[in-house]
Amino acid sequence: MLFVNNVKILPGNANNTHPLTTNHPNDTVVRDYLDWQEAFDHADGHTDHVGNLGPHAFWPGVWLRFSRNGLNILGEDHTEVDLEQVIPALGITSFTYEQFSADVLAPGSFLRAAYLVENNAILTRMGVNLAGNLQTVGGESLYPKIADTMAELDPYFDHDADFPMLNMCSGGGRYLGQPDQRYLKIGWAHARDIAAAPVTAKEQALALVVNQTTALLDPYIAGLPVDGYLGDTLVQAAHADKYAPLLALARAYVDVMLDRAVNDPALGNNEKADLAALPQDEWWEQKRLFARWRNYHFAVVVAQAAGNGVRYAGMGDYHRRWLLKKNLIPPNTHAYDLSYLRFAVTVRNTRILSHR
Amino acid sequence: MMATERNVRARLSHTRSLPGTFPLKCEVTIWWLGDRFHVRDTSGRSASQVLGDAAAPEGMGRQPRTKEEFMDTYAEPDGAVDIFGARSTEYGLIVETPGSDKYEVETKTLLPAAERLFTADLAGITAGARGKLLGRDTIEYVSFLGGERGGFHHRVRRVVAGPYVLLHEVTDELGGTGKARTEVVALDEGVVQPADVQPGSPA
Repeated sequence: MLFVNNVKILPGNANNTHPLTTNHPNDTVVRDYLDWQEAFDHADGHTDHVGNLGPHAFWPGVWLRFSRNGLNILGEDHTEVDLEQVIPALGITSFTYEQFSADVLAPGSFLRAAYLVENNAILTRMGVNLAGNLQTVGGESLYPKIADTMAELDPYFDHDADFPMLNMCSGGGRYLGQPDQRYLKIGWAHARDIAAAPVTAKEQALALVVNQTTALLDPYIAGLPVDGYLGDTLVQAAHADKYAPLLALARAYVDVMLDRAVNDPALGNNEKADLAALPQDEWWEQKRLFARWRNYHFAVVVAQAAGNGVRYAGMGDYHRRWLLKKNLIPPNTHAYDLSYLRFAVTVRNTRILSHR
Repeated sequence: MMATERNVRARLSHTRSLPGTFPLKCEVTIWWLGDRFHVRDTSGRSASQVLGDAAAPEGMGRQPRTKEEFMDTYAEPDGAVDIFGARSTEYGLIVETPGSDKYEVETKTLLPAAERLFTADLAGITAGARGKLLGRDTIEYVSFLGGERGGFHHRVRRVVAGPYVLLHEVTDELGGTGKARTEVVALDEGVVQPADVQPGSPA
């Protein structure tokens, strides 16, 4: 099906002169163009702003349209229509994505190796050159996520707090233990990098913990499978000896990250002062600080992406709304809500066209 | 009470604690006038999350499924969601702030958020303890969601007064610490005006 300027094009239309679009009026796929030039450009593969979601997408076949110019921010529900589904639908080659690190991951570092192990599959699916500059597709800093995980795990590792490790296990509709295991592994790798060349007093304290626990923790963490659940091992009596060293690691790492947050060179002075003023004694206060640090980084990455001519920035819709609320949407940037209620309007528009 | 006879405003206190999320505590207001309704949630969550409070099959709202979603709950969201609709029309309206984004959504998707105030699905559930809430005589009903095949097993406790559910509490029966609780803290009948259930209302 072919629509141009809101008119349904019937087979044999005299304007339909492109060899790749002449058959469109005869099929059931909805294509809705502003003009013939856009239709022909799409057929030639010269667009990255229109197209149909693929057969395996959350809403197969739906016609998408974003801005042809500037940066498009896609606020997604990560479990529904996401950037990974939109990329092949539109032929996107220029993007940043929330799940990917915007940090410099030094070649040869434990951190880069661990990050690649955990993200190899999705990076490959999204066409990222694993040997190249991973930073260019990064949508946010990795450090707040690792730090958040370490703070979160504190009461689980701490016998006094006694949070039930069952929450970190697979089954029962639970999920938390999977991402927390992923970021514990990446965090351990980062801690080993820091321990190799500690500078600050807090880094030296972390290095001491790493050196004291490596013999016990490294084989354990190295044996944790990709996408496994942290609780599945830690509920076993055989791993009861891991709790105390993991707690020491988590606390020393969080200390380093709190320093890093309030001195982050990527942030402005106001943002750093704002973070420094937040309470940070309790694990949940630390998580709040890291969450705000994360949002500030989003703003930095989006501004850089817009300035560098990047076409798409994929992120959770919460962050799109946060940028909107803070008036941090850069010029020539267009923000879209892909969460299912809002996206249902797009789905409905495609269905309406399909019945015309 | 026939749906067409409804004229009620309810203020609900909603709390939820799930592993890995910041404890949620918010107020929800529901207006009903005849078959028209308006739901306002000021937690700063998205409309999808607000609707999930009443519609998610686990009974504890939409649960995060990515690391990023867990972290978002710690990020001090603010803003409001207003949901307008009428049982007799196919589409209702969602208004989200910031941004004042407005869009139409099928009424059947929106209804659970408004209908949560009223009793339903009590057939076959044995009436339990009697008591009083908000000065009204109540009966307690306990049922369960999920089961082993569903991957979860949640206990649902409802305290009902006439057509109204005054307390709705969901707890994890498999040893997890998840819990959601919605309590009507004010219930006023006969006070709703047409402007309360119209988009752009000052309510």
